Order: sequence, then structure tokens, then C-alpha cells
Amino acid sequence: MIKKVFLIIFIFFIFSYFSLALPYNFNRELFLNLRIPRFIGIIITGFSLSTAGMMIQLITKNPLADPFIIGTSGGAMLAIIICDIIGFKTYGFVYFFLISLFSITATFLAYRISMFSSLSSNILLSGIAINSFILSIIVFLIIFSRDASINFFHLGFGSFSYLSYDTVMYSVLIFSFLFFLSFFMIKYLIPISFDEEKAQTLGINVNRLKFILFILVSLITSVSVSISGMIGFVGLMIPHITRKLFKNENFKFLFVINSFLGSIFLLVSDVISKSFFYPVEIPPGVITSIIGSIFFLILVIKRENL
Amino acid sequence: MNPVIEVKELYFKYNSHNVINGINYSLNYSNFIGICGPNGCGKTTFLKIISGIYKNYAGSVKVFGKNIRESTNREISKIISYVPGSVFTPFDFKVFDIILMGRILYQNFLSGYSQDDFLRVYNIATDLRIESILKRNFNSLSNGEKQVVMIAQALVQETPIILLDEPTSHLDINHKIKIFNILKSKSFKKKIIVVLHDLKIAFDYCDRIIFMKDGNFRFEIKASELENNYKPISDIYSVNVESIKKYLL
Amino acid sequence: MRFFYFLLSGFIFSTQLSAQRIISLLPSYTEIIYELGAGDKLVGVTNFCNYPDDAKGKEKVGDYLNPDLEKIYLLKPDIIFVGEWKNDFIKKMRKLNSRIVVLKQEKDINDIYLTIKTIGKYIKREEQSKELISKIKKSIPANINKKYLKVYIEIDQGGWSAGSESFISDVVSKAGGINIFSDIKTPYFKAEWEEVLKRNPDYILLLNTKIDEFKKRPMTAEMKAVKNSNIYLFNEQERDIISRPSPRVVGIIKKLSELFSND
Repeated sequence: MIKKVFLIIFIFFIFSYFSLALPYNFNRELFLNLRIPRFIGIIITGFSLSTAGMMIQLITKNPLADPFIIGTSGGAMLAIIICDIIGFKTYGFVYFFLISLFSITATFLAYRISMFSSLSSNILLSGIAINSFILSIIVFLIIFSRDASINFFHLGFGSFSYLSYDTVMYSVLIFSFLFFLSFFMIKYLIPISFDEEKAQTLGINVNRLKFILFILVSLITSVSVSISGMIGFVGLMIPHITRKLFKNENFKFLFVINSFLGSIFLLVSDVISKSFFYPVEIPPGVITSIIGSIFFLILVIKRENL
Repeated sequence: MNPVIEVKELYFKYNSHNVINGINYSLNYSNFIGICGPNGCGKTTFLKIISGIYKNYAGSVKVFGKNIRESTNREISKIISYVPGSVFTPFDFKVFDIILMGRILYQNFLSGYSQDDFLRVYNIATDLRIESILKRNFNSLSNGEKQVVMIAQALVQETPIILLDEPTSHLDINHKIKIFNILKSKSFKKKIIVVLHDLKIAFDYCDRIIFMKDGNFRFEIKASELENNYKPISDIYSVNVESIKKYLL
Repeated sequence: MRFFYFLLSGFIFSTQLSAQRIISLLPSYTEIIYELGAGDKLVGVTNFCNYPDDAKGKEKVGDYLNPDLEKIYLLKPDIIFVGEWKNDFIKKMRKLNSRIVVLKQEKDINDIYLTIKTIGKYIKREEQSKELISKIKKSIPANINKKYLKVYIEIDQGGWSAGSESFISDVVSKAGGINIFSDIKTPYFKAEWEEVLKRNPDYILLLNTKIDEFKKRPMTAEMKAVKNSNIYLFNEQERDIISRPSPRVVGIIKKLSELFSND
């Protein structure tokens, strides 16, 4: 097991190096002002998406869950499009705040609707419904705004293009805080993901904790969206890979290594884009979706122990 | 002195179906209670209400004098532990971690499990003879082994009252006896309430047995009073008296 | 007398020929038809045909993605101008009793001349088309003594630029500029910001991104074009014109040429 950990750390450093070094162009200004913030953005996005993904899969006891599906994507997109339409350009913490506000509201709605049923998975269904509903409103709105319609197209697959320290440093703080919070929540998350009724008899206020956890997932996902837009499949895929690689380890360990795997994945897609297509930029979401869809299909077909 | 468990006018509906139809019951001195009855009579539901899982019942349930409606899950979990009939989980958990979950009510937000917790888990596992499967994945166990693990999880909670829902239905006679021996030994200091189908075991181990049908308690007898009660028992199960006699002897 | 009737029928026949009912399924074709003086013969245009003003009043038959085949049929056109599109409605339209003229997609300005010539031929306005073509050619500045500035073209705020195979790239080069991404063969693509900085364009052409938004990006302050305020944002009308390969494009070429030489 130690070997695997070292291998992962090694791969992390290798791809970090390549992501920072490619294309070979040593210009100190460029490196400090462009590449480092971009690197930080990639890492934080990777950490956030995979962490949120692992949490949502555990809470809903559904290995096919994705952090965007609980209303988060609808809320975040709506926030971004509305900012576009009213011409409110912002970045950094304020941007994150707005996105998470809408995102949490959508998640909260999805949660309340799902409360009418007793199954834990149903927030996924109500989340899908909320997302679809919001999406149709967005499409309606962008008919009347040309700027917004362009931005909408770009939202779908994310980008690490224009990151600078202003637009990325807040996320380091926020993510660290949320990560630590979630880390201490693992203790309660595990019994809930084992069996909700049992968790209740073990003294856990299951409803309240699930609610808090959903909000946490929504916030963590919003960090990623505020940096780089919507990047799909990372939240779905990486927790599976983590579980497969480290079958017998405890959850706290899985939680941490999972986030590294997430950032490795995004670093890899960044390196792929820079190695083969430079200077054309392939949006990270495109690469993750291609690899992710194939992975997803394999998952569904195999359906073995997850 | 307060009865240990006091249930008054308990009613419970599930999807417009009356599952519990007016139970009045008081548990005082006996320590090992069995609840028996035909399928669907509400035994499991009753346990889930007492353990705090189902909250929208009508009537009052008091444990050690305190109304559980006014208690938090945490408070209830310090007094009552519950072993479910079955669990399903799609993820991998190690047996050790599952039993360890029983100690969660003794943690606060920032602390983790302690050496003491780990020790208790080992001790229980040894008592129940499952120390060899501690490192295994729960989903890879047989149904019987899973049941023992769930019992271990409840025992490690160290509550004065333990509720069990058919805890040995998948176990062979050897293991059934072992488990019930352990439960019997615990029953000197704790209150054990078991829902079970096996009338023989019930009469061998329980102090008292409650017979339930259609959502309420029909009657309660001491284990020693079996001889005089073949008729009521056979009525509960809708079989003839001869079959009951044969079955129990 | 018979000869007279022959002449008369010939005359009627030829007027019928020239009294054509034309449908245009692309705004650039509409503009060309008007320039050739045959605007009155247009019976159907697309929803996007907004130039000249007269075109706005014509019957709308959908657009190139979704033509309203029923309406087209009812208008009984003699000739329909379409592009090399890959949808099956061209096949369906061939069932109508109209002549379908498929025009090649214009990749650069020279292709426009071909379109004008083709349209001119089919609506019997060959003379006018020759005139129009030479008028356009004359209007394009000669580009002698041009500085050939490096230009970065940004199509939208996501960072999409134009490669060498795009129409706008050709417009820029006719105006005396060099697209910094002329080495990229695809028409439209997303450009890595770092590369834009590295290629340090002399001029920045923005089609949609607001200038102050552009300046907020990292390291824009060091860009040559930003320091010299050589950034131009297309207005609504110019955006419109640049998106269609029509004769009006000459105006843009002139404008850009002026902008580039003022540097």
C-alpha cells in the first residue's frame, strides 16, 4: 500500500512539473503570474471535485452519484448567467459567494423535495429535476442576451485560462476550511453511508447531518465552479478509482488520497492539451468527459463491487 | 420506581396502513423479553419505534421515565441499542470499522476513536468468536456472519437496553445457541428485547414472551407457563394446538 | 402575322424569364441580390436578412438551419439560392419546381467574387455582377507600404480566436494585418492565453469581449497593443457585417486598414 502512495505522490509531482513547464518557455513573469495561479486553480479544482464526489456517493449510498446532480450545477450556472445578463462582472470571493448562494438554494430545494420520500437516493432524482428546470429557464433567458449565450456555451466544459492570484487565492483558503470541516464530518458520514436507520440508533441525527453534508458538497463544488466552470466526471470517476486502488484502507485515508487523485487527473488533462494541441486549448471538461464517459459505460456494464 | 419502558396508547400508521393498533405495555423487572407473532403483525415496527427510528407515532413511549419524543437521538442511543434484521450497503466496510461505529456516541466533534474504543471492539469480537473476520469486508460475509457483526456493533454501544430483530434467523443451531447464551449472560445486567420466530429458543431463554398480532399485544406469559398456553399460542398463529405441541416438544 | 406572334411569345417568354421569383436562404446572398439591382424579385428571405432595410419587409422563410419548406413552396419561387449545407432539405426542395443553385461556402474574399458571379449569372445580371466585382476590388486598399501589423482576433470572451481558414482572418489580411494565429489551420478555436501573450500582437481586434474585461486578464498590462491602446471593439453593425461574406465587408476592410495605418 505504501508503494501505491509513493507512486501516486510521484505521479503528482511529475504531472505538476509538466503542467507548469509546458510549453517550454522560460519567462519568469509568465511563470509567476500565469502558470502558478493556473496550477493552483487546477489543483484546487481537482481536490474539490473529487472530495465532493466521494461525499455525495457516500451520503446517497449511490456509486453513480455526482456532486453536480443535487442541484449544484443548475444553481451555479444560473448565478453565472444572471451575472452575465445584468453585466455584473466580478471575481474572487464575491464571485464564489454568489455562485454558492444560488447553488445552496438549489440544493436545499432538491433536498426538501426529496424529503417527501424516505429513500436516501431521491435527492438525486429531485436534483435532476431541479437542474432541468433551471436549465430551461437559462435557455429562455439567453435567447434575449447575446453575451450570455456565448458564455453559456463556454460554461459547459470549463477553462483554466485567465486565472491570476486575484481570482484564485481565495479558493485556497475556502477549500482548506471546507476540507477540514468535511474531514471531521467523516466520522458521522460513515455510519450514515452504512445504514441510515442504524446510524440513527447510534445517536446520529441523520436528517440534520445529511442536510449539512449536502450543503457542504454544494459549497465545495461551488469553489471549483467559481475557478474554472463546470468540469464533469471528475466527481463521479475519481472516488471509484480511489476505492478500487485502496480497497482496504480506512475512510480518512481514502478521503485524502482521493483528492490527490482528482488533481492528478486534471493535471493530466492539462498536460494532454498542452502536449498535443498547443496553442489550441482543449477545455479540461472535454478531456474528462471523453475519458469519463468511457469509464462510466464500463462501470455500468460491469456493476461489480464498488 | 419508574418502569424501564412504558408504552401508552401507541398507534402507528405507515402509508395509511395501521401497523400498530393501540399498545399499552410496561416493562419492569424481567430482563429477557421475547416478542413473537405471525409475519406482519408489527414486531419490527414496534422495535423501530422504541429505538427512535420512527418518530411519527401517536401515543407516548417513556424509557426510564423520560419521554423519547423529547429526547435527542444521542440521548436515546445511550440507553437503547438496536440490531436490525438485515442491512444492505453498496460500499466496502471492514468488520472492525463497523463494530467501531457503535462507539460513536462517546465521541465529540473533534475527537477520534480512542485506544479504549479499539479495545472494547476486540473484546466483543472475542466474546462473539468473530475475531478472525475483523479485517474482512462486510459484504463478503455470509448472512449469518453479518448478523453476528451487527450484534457486536450493538453490544459495543454498552447500553442498558438492547433491542434485537430476529438476530439469529440465518444462523445454524450451534451459533444460535452461542449467541443466545451470550445474550442471556448480558441479560443479568441489561434489558434485552428480542423479536424472534423460533418459539423453542424463545421459551428456552426468555423470561417472558409477548405474543403479538395485528398490531397489538395479545398476551404475555412467563416462559415457565408454556404448558397451560398452547391454545392461545395456536390461535395467534392460526394453526391447530397439536402442531404447536409437537413443534415445541 | 405569325412572325409577330412568334416575337411576342418570345418577348413574353423572356420577360417571364427575367420576371423571376427569387428566394435567398442566406443574408449575404440577399445583400448581393440587392446590390445587383434585383431586390424587387426577391420573394422570400431568411429571418436574419436585415440589410438593406427593404429586405426586412420581405416574406420570411426561416433560415438555413430550418427553412420553412411549406412557405417556400407556396411562394412558388423560380430560383432558390442555398449554400453547400449538409441537410436533407436541399433534396426535398429539389422536388419543387424551382431551380436550386448551390453556392460554395466562402472561405475568403475571393470566394465572394465567385458567389457574385454565380448569382449574377442565374438572375441574368451578369453585367451588374462584373461591375460589382470590380467595384469591390477597387475599394480594397492596395496595401503598398503597409506595415503588416500582427493582429490578435478574439471572436468571443471565452478566448476563441480565428485561424487562417476563417473569413475574418482573410479580412484582416486584406486590410494589411497578419493574424497572429495564421499558422492554425482551423477556422475557429480556443487559443491558449499564454500564446497570445507570447506572440505579442501589435493590434487587438475584439468582436465581443468588452475592452475593460479584456484588460482584467493577467499580464495584459505588458502587452504592446494594450500599452499603445491599439484595441478595437467591433460595434453591433460591424459584428453583423463580419459574420457574412457580403459586399459590405469592404467597409470593414477599409476601416481596419485605417486603424492599422494610424499606428
